[in-house]
Amino acid sequence: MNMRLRNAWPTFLFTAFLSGGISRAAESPTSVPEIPHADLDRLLAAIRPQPGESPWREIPWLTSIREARERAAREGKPIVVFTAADGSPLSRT
Amino acid sequence: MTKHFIPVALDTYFRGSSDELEFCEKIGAGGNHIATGTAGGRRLGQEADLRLRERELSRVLDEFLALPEGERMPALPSTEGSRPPDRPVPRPPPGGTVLRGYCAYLERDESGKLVRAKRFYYEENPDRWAAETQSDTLWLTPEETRSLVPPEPRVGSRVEAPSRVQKRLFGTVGIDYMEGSVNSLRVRESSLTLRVEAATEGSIELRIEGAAKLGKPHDEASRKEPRSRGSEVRIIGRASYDRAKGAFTRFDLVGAGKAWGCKMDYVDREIRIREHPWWYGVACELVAGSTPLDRIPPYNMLHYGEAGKYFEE
Repeated sequence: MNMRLRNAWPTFLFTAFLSGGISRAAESPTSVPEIPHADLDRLLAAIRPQPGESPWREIPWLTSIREARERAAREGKPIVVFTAADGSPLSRT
Repeated sequence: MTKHFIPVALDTYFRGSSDELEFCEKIGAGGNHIATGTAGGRRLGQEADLRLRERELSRVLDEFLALPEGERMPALPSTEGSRPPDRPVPRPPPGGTVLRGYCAYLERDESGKLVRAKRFYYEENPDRWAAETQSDTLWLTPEETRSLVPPEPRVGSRVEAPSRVQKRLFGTVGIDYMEGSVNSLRVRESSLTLRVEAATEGSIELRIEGAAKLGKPHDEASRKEPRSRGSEVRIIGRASYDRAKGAFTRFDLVGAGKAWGCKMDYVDREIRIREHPWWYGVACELVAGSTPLDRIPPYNMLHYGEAGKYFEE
């Protein structure tokens, strides 16, 4: 490799790193480049549920029918039961 | 919702003891469904296609309010003699760690940065709806919790997480589980290192790095074949450990991965993604509370996949 080109590599890699967090450099169809630790908070915020995305998460669900019946009888309210056949409806949906 | 109703969420397979099961059967609570009823077990809203929306639930409330007080606030029968649950709901290991995981789709923006991607069910359909962030939990025993902290925590010292922890973390909440009912994937290769960044008498700060290859190796030709799912994921994170309590007080993880294979193994509804492989993101945070929502068992604890039993060695 030409010495001028070789010396340019560190500059290129540094620029690629700065340009977008996870670098595209040497990315194969399946490989995942390293994630800079500086991206932790940004990615955490991007992956967590977004504001207003899932209003059902804000409901204080009970998970016991007995407790629900006791409270419903005491407070004079009807019961809403949300069921899923393959895990809790509050988990993977 | 709580102003007018008492909300309960249940896994149909864990509806409780015989009196609870009987109540569910009376009001038609089971399957993938919303059901409503009085405390005494009178079914409400029977004719409606119930959703968690004001339009449907307001009709149920009208029906309830038209009932006599004795039905709205009944004296409940004793539960003595009730048969205990056939399948008790698993509880987190006492003294262990509970993490809540999240999963979402990612994509690169114009600058190459990974950002959240908005994907839809039945994208071409005018009634399409956006795929929501998925969540799940990860449980660790007290012994597994301690195994994540170097025995002599000096700055720079490190520990590799035991293989059973790597298998559980990567295989259950390190995969793309955006379709929800997705079984765990076998871990083909993985690493998960925790390195001490700061240590005092009271606490230890850890930096986390890891990567895994999961499920089937990528094969473009088999992308529509059943059981062809696989992924590669990298994670980073940070954790704080309280030495006196022997417990984590913070545990943040984020991961970016590429997934491939047939997305329709487990469900009929499709979140169509044109790219193959596609980007996904996962995250985990410590659960410190003890609300019912905080105690929901991990999906793959109950639905075993390729990774085997949840707490298996």
